[in-house]
Amino acid sequence: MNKLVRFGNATLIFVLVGVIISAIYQQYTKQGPPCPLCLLQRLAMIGVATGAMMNLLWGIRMEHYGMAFLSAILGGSVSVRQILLHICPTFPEFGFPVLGLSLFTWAFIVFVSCILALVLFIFLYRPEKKKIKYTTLYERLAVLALILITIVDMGIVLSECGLGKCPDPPWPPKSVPTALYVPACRAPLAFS
Amino acid sequence: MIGIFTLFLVIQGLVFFRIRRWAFILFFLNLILMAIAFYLRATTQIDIRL
Repeated sequence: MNKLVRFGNATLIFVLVGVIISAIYQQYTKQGPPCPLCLLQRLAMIGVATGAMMNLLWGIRMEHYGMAFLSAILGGSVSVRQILLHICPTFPEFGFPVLGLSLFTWAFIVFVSCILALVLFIFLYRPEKKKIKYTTLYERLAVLALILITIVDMGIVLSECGLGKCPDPPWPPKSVPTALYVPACRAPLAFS
Repeated sequence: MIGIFTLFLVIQGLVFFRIRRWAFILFFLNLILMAIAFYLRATTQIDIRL
């Protein structure tokens, strides 16, 4: 059963790496530079994956799940904040929707799914006297993918923000006429 | 932001080389930094210079 849990942790890392890769793809093909809240969501995804990585390399422990939970809750809060910023019906969308939902809505779904998956792993885990000391090729690949995506993300942030703060997305966006805004729903300075 | 990303990379290195205590400390520090970044963004619209 614990092999299944380890396999689940490695799969969780692969899924999160895939989500970050698709976000980078969206960024370069359609959307432009990532917003500060989007970067925080990516960081939280890396945090969840790092918790799973600890499980793979150090053995399964509740502290590692705790780390992953904290990251998932933080990332979920950030994405909820961004969803609430765009909740007004006349408020313009930020970026291009994927399958009808914005990227930050998908991020929220990912964080909730992560929490559910982590709970499932905890339920399935059975403490054993004989700890698994080795890592399979699949698990090693997951760890490698996570380290590589962190380096890539770091390079992207360094190239776009430099060593200072990241630039705000343009507000109001040029694509939407100003007459469409409802003043009560408008965000004060930046919208993401 | 770049600092938080770099810190995550350092944490992953520490996890890889099994340096347990510092990995935990830096992970918590990183989560606190992310929370501060989020708080500043939500309340003052200031993006943290990290």
